[in-house]
Amino acid sequence: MDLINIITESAQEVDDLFDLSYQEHSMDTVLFGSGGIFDSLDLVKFIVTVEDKIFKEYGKRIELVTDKAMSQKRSPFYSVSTILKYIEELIKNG
Amino acid sequence: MDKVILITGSSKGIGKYLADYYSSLEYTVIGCGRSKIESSSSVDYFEGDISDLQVVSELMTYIKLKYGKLDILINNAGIAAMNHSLLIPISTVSNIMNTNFISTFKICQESSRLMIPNNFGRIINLTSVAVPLNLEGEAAYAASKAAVESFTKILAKELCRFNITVNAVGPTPIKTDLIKNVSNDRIESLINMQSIKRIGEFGDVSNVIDFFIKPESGFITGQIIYLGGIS
Repeated sequence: MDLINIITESAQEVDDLFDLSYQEHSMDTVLFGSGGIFDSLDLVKFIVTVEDKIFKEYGKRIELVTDKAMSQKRSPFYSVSTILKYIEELIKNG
Repeated sequence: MDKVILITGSSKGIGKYLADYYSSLEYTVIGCGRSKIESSSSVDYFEGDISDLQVVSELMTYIKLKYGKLDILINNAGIAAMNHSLLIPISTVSNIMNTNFISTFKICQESSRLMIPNNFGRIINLTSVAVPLNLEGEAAYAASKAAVESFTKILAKELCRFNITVNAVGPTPIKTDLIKNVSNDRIESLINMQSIKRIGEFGDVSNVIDFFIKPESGFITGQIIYLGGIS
């Protein structure tokens, strides 16, 4: 399963409404932030689900919640595309 | 698979008792501690110092790979030092806070990640009657446990949506290494502050934990139960 599927499947598991938003906005679907479909508890569930799926798929344990991530002006969890870019960087940087 | 339970600080004292006890009840028990101990066929023991957060990450990866889940966490590991606040080195205060609170926080974070996918969890943190009794000479220890209590209550609210309960048990003095350097007079005076005036037993602690971890206790969260009638 590639990363984009991991992200979209995880978002769908958290919020049934994700599919509708994704059909309309695709990679620009706002997940967390102004106008986002997630509340903070949804974000927790989403992060845990993504980490779990990445571990099962790639055998790699990553922590999405880092000091750097949580202190950025725009959250890396803002949209599907920002999350994808963030996770790719985390995996690349080991 | 049986319910999987992680007990920190299981090389001796309350933690060892709890590991052996829950193993006898056919839980799958993972213990951990700083000391090397004789291996037991019934407890999966992970040697490591959980005040090192990297060790916590390694422990959780080990559990995820071997068991795939975690149902129950008992945060028992803790250290103490008795001294007047003006006589305790800040490095000791920092160590106590790191082991008793920061590590507890980190282990709860990591354990929750294993519990959330299964929509079930029981987290029990060990606190102490030193908190409500405001025991002189135990400022650093009591403060670290007060932090654990506040964290317990807030985490309970934050995790209830995932069917994870978070509670704490506060033992009275029990004969373990934690109080081996405390004088008999001091122990006696502590016991006299209790409504029920006797030294605590390991079974008194497991009795409360049994209640918290029962499947029927899904409506009990954010609670602190002290032994000996202390409130």
